[in-house]
Amino acid sequence: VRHGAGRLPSVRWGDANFVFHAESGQTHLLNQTCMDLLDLLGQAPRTLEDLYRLLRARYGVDDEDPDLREALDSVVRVLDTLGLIVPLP
Amino acid sequence: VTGVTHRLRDHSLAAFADVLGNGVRFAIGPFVVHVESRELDVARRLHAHYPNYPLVPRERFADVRLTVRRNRTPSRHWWSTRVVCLEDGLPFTTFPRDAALAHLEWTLNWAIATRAHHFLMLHAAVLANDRGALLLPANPGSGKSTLAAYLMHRGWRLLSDEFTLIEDGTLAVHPFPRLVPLKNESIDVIRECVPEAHLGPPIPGTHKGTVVHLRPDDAHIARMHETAAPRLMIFPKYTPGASLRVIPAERSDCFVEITQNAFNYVLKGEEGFRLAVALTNRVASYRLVYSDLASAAEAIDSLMVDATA
Repeated sequence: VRHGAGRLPSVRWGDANFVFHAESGQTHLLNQTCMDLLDLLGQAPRTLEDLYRLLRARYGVDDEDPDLREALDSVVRVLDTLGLIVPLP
Repeated sequence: VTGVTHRLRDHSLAAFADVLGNGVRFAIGPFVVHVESRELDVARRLHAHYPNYPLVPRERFADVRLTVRRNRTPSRHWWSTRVVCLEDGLPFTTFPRDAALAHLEWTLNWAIATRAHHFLMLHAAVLANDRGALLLPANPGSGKSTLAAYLMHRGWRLLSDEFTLIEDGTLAVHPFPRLVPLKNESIDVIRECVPEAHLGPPIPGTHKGTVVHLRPDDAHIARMHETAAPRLMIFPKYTPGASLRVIPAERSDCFVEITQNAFNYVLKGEEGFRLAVALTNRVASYRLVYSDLASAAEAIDSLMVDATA
């Protein structure tokens, strides 16, 4: 997957992250996992396996974590639906 | 009346009614509004309710052009109904003759809300004192207009009871002081709590119930070009019998309220997002539950002092 927008203006207050998506004109309230994922994809397109590995490293999870993997899949689906990320062939 | 900048109160009703047939232009805050009607009753209402607004020459560009005329569409009560038209000359709204002022005001609201996109426009009352601007965004029924009507008689300057016009860059709030439409129960509340308020005649049977227009004093109109810096945002909620509660609002909640409240947030795109973020960071924000106007006003005075200390 890759980042779906060239630039995503955002602001954070406490646990709340707001992102403005220019292509849709929508403002989204995202949790920190979404923001971390967008941050990683802002650096380069990545496979889901890469994202899973990098998120584990970011969160200090050494072992396989099915909950984290499930959360990642869920977040990817949501961000794809919102147009914030784009699947690559 | 036309050609020279002066006020409506400088002219007799007869002279005003004479020129209103060809149109008169008022300066109201940052806008020029053209009003035209051959109806004596409309002239009478405007003469009574708009005495302090400057009249501007007809050569000035008019942001909105409103015409009140008789209804030409055959219907059971066509002879006693009137219409307000915008620039296209077609009826925008049809109403009983005595409700002309209410519909003129509502049509002007609609026109500004759909045109003045050089501002971020919040559906919020806004008042100011020497410390800055107090914004009161709220849904219908929350007591926003009633609270604004009270505060404007207790030391606050009315900028608007309906539109908060935020300038890009500076976030300065531009005044747009208009008649304050009080509805239903709030009419008696203001009559009782603010006996000095200039209230017009009741207009019953509108889609919002009975409406009475409160006319701002000259002091508010005379300063309608003085902007104010936003400092305090209160989300009021009138709850009968409730004791006063002041609850600090999270910045994230304040931001969500702004984005949902602004007439043109989505339309302004990224600029709207940027302005909403900047405004959120600029103001202290609270939720206010109240039933008593005097204690609510006292709390607001104190919150403004804290916000600007």
